[in-house]
Amino acid sequence: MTDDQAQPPAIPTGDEDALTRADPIQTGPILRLLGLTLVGVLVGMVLADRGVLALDALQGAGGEGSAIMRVQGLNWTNRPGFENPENETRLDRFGLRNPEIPEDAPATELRVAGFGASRVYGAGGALQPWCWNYHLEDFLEAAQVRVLNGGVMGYSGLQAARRARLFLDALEPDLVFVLISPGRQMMVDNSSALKFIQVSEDPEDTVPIDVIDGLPGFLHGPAIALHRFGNDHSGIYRRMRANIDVGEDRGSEIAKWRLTEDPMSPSIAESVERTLDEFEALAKACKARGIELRVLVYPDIDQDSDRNWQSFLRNSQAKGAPPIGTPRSEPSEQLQRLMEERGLTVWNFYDEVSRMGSGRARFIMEDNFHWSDLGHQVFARGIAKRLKEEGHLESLASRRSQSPRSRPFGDVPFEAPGGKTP
Amino acid sequence: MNFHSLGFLVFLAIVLPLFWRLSNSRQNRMLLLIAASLFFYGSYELWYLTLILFSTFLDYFCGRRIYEAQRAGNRAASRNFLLLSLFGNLGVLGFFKYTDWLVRSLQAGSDALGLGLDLWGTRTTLVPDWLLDGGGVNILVPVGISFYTFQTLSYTIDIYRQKLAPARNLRDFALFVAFFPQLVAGPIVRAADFLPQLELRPRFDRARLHEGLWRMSTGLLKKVAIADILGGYLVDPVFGAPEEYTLVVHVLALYAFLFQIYFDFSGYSDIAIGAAKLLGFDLPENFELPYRSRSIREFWRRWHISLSSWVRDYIYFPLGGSRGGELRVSRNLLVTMLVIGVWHGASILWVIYGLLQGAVMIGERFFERLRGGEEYATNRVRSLISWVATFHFVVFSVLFIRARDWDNLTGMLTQFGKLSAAEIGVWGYVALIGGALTHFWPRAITEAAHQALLKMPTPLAGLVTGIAAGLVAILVVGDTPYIYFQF
Repeated sequence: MTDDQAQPPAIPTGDEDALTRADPIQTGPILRLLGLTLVGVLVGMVLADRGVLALDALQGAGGEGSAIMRVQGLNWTNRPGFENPENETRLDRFGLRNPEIPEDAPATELRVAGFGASRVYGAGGALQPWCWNYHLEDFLEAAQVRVLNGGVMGYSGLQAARRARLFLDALEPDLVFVLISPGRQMMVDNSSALKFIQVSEDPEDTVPIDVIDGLPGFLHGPAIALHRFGNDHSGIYRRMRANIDVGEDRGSEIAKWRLTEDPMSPSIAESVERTLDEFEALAKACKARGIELRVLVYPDIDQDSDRNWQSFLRNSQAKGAPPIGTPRSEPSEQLQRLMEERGLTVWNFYDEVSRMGSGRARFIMEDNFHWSDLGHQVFARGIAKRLKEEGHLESLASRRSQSPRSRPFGDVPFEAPGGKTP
Repeated sequence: MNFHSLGFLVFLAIVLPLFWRLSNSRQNRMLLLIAASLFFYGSYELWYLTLILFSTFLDYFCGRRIYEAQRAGNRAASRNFLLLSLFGNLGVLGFFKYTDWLVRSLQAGSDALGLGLDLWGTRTTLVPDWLLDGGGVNILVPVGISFYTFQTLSYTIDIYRQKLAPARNLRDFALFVAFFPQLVAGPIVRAADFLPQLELRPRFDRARLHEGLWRMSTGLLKKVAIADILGGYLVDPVFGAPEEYTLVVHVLALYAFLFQIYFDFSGYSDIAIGAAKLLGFDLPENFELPYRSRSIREFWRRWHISLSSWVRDYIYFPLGGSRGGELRVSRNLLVTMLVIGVWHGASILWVIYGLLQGAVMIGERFFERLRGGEEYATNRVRSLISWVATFHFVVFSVLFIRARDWDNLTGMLTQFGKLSAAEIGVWGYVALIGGALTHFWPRAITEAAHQALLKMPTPLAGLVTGIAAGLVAILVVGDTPYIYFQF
């Protein structure tokens, strides 16, 4: 450093506003320019928004052409009767991915219904006949079991359990299972999606609670009006809401969270607790109706081989992964433990997935996540094996023959078609 | 509050008209900007404000005292206050950024020597939980701390060097430190560039407005339409599990990260420069198409210019710069580039990164001396060779920036799997090709679009900006902070 200059510069002094006093800034034209700019920006954003709406309409998203529709209580669900010839998808009158239950279905037929998220649904481009429920029916052909696929894309464990409960009376299944993985699927925060607040005397007049959460009372009206306007007219807003609803706006610290024996943060613990509560409620509802329930604990994608697990732990520490050295089976075992503590019976698929090992690529689609035809077969075989081993085919058939169904099926348990967007 | 969020758009839409409404009163417009800046910074974490306020008060105080001591001819006092400023600022920066690294290194040394010291345990006991990051293990590095620390240091050093007078008052100085457009990720502004602007009549006209809109629109698109897509489709998956991808995909991921970090950081700088323009301020340029460089020395004149010129003026030149023998110059280069490396982060990878840059610069000087000081790239072929060599050295060196740790780095170099380039989503390729094209195509193409926006009527310029903002709103997915926030 040098300090060879003799005189330091002088600190500015004097009238701070001398320049503007001598030559005042004409704020009017500036504000007018800014106003014009703002109008232009808003028009531009509206144009972009219209573009999104047009694009979404082309792709069939959000409208009658979409596989998904909004319903209160679940936030979204499969659209009854949806068809997509590209992957031979044809949902039944309930939005289940299986053939329609015929009006003349035998009153004593055995029904197994599976619920869960996109893997159960058969996403990732899987053709409908590849789905596990078709394979399971084949494997159980002798027992004449009707297998119903209640998977919905993007669902959390909580939503899947709640959807299963909603369908118990309409489908009258003999055995229900709900697939859940010991990772972020337990953590998707549905507080905004599943908590609604009534905003007028009309009990149907509700909005997701996060729309007004934290705002002072006098802003509730404008916030609700904006939300509704956005939902009705803005493609961008709908996409933003969709992100919020599936938890994409949540902090990155839970991106790679897996359930372990380590203590959970309060917010994670609360979310897990609510998920377990929902499963417990489902168990009570099943018990009251004499329906068998199994919680199908399915490993997360990184648990399928030691190599993947170590790599996952090593690379995901900053994103909330469990500590390095955590055993690969621990998340599944911990989830099983938590479910069993609530009195639920678990089918743990850790071994099935573990056996896929290095040949895993054959069992999943190109998206590296959803099951291929072979993956669905492995899954269906695992269920068939357990049904046989536990003697369900005989016991449930015997129970059903003593209390046949009085109708082939009941009503769709939510507003349909279309659904009301809260 | 990220720049690419609706919140920032609303924030700016409120601050801008208010600022210009108050523009005839310096006190009012300054106070508004300070309040807005503190609100902006506090939106990340409220307690960060204590750190920036500490720096503000410390350096304002030290600056005044240095100045007064110099006027009184008291050189010792002047030096002491400079040291107080240096220790205060670097102490805070060092605590947040380097404590864990230091403790871990000492712990490893202690373990190797069998001393049985539990230094990490002591660190864990002493540091409260609220100072830890989301993982609950490492000390949190407050957003922007490296940037404003260097900024405030330049203030006291320049006063000590008698190149700068202290700020007129604490208010002006507080705005220099906290000015929201460049607060969290630069450009690093010198007091000598910023404070004189406060003495000017605020400047605003149609050309400045359109220039600001241009910079903000392009900055937003750089971040969301290129950088984030490259990250999501190519960089994150491959660096996350290198053992699953083929060698070709590894190479693609390196190219992708090269463009991701450029578009992410230069996008931020563009938005900062654009937002400042709308408020009547000029911030220094931070990038000058760096991947067109034909030497590493040129690269550092085009990449993160505000940092490289800072270390040049406050570290390289004081060390002697290019004066003296080759050994001395080489030492100066190595030290300077090491500081650049370690400024980014506390890890051995950053140390190697900095030393690598320095070593190549020394090599370039040596090569030039061998040729008797004559430039190598004197024709097109040689220019191309120089560019290819420089570009690929930069590609290689970004591996040290992106790799999370040594294992990840060696994984990228040695572990390969079966997932081929076909597994990468098409948008990853679109962003990669688009990014490369916009960087390398003739400047005239960019300039033509730039000029078109400057010449169009203001509502139309606003409309173009709005469409860009709409595209950003469509493309933005989840929480994707700027890469340089972590530094």
